[in-house]
Amino acid sequence: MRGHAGDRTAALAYNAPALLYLAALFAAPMAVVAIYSFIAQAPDAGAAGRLTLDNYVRALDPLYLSVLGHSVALALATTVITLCIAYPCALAMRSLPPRRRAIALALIVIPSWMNLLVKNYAWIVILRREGVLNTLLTRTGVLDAPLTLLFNDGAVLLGLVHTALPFMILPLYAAVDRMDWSLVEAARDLGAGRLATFRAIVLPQTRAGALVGTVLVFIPTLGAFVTPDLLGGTRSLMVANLIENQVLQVRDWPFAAALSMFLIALVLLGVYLLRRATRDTGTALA
Amino acid sequence: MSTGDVLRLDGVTRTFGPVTAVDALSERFGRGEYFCILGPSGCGKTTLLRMIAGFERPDSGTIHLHGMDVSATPPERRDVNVVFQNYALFPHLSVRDNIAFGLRMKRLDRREVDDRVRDVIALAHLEAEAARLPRQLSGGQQQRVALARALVNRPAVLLLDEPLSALDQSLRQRMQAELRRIQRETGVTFIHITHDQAEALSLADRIAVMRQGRFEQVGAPRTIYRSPASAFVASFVGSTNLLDGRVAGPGAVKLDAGPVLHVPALPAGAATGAAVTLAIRPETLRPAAGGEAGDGPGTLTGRIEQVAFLGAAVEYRVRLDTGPTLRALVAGAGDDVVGEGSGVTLLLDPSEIVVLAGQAGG
Repeated sequence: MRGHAGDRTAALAYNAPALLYLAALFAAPMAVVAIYSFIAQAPDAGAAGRLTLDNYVRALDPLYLSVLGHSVALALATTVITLCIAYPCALAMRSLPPRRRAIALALIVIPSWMNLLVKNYAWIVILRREGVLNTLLTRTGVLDAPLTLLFNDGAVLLGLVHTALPFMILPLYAAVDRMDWSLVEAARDLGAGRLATFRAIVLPQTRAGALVGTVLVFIPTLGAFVTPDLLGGTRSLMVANLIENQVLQVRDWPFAAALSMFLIALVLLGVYLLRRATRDTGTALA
Repeated sequence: MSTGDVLRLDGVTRTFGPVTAVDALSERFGRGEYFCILGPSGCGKTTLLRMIAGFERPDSGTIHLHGMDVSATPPERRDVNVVFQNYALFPHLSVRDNIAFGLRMKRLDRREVDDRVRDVIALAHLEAEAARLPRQLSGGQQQRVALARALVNRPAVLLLDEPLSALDQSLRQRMQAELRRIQRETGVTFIHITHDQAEALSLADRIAVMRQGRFEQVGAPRTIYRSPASAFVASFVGSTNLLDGRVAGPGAVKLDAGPVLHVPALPAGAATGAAVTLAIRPETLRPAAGGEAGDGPGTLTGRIEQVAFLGAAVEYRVRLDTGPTLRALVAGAGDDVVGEGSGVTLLLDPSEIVVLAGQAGG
């Protein structure tokens, strides 16, 4: 027998490219950010050598906590809204004949290839004061004066939901398609109406897909930057905008690093909670 | 047994594109009856069951339950429950919660749900499994849960879709006895669809043999077996020998390949010369060593091609001197075995011969 040492060397050799890639492009930058977050900011916008916890203390300031809270609230709202839209979509797609199902899938996937900036600018064209929607509503006499539709939480939420929706629909559709549909017939045979069947059978049977979708939507949305920047302006700030502001405008890199660490901690906490939820139901996160 | 019809089908038809799955079918089902629908796959029996359950709507015709037209009523509002072929137990619910599902959907109060679930768990002998999940159960146990989950609702009609097809032979026989017992104890009308003729014969009060969307014959198991109405019924229910012939006179049929045989009755309106088919059950033929009996009417002579020992019986394959091959089944171990290749005389009991109109073409 050659022993485990040989196997281990071989395993290391096989995995070396991946490990190198992760070390250079993930672990090292993360380490730099982590180190930066403990360095005191010097007056000349560089970083002085002294180690400190001041950056974290400052991040706990209610002003910044409220931005963090606002980001979590927007990400949660996006997750809930996409869930509410994606379930009926996935179920409707499942009920189509196979050929149309493929078309519906394409119609959902293709828009997600579109550049994020383009998508957001499209919303600006639609929502601004002299935009498509306001023009339509005032010309037809529905409104006397145009509404302010841009640069608020609603506009940001709309943009976030629009971007995130495919990432919720696809895992849910996969789960709905994999589900044993004879269970639905059994439930209806036993007296359950459509809503009760959804709650008692479809929801528990597709929980794994919903959790995958939640992870895919919640994490990127929490760190969303372009959408709140373009559709929210200064009124609807998310934590990524705050970080960007600290890096590029204020040039307080250590504070930006501390905020980033907070964001990462939040995401890890969210993933941990979801993993616990999936373990309890005996389903696995894909 | 029946105090009025529970279920009535009138001219029920369902087509899928060019295929007529169920064709203008009418039948009445009595209270407390065990009714088996027997047919080969593709005969429309599953479509019929799905229409009674409410999963499919008939294109035309009506379904009456307790005298009320339920043709357009969705499944959740029909007093009918199904035992699905794959059981369709809810994998995330315990046995007890699976069984309680229907009662909870009807919003019965908690105590009544508990009482009725406990009773049906006892009826189905599932006390030890009540807290388990379906995947922790054997096939037979899952089958009993599916039955209990349907019966706890006390439906007017219980539909069973090939409920025993997933079980092995010995378990299937035990579950047949269980089904019969539970049906007797509950008095619910069972409509059981199957392609297994032995299952239908042993379980049913009445059997419908289904073919191409229609009931070819409906009757008690003995009637179906001993007086099949067609060559299809004769060959699908049990095994049978089919011989073509022509009416030679009152109570006599001349085989196309063979002698004149005496028969108990001719089909209505069969004139001399009319084409008929004789159905002769293998167990009514008695082989005797060649030449012992005379060559008079009612005997056929031939040569034994094959002898198969089946345990409780011996099967002989006999090629008649005139051409056709017949099967004869002799109960017992067959001590006085007639060997392969030897000449044989088949003694017929004329009263056991069934004459069917038309020729099967075999």
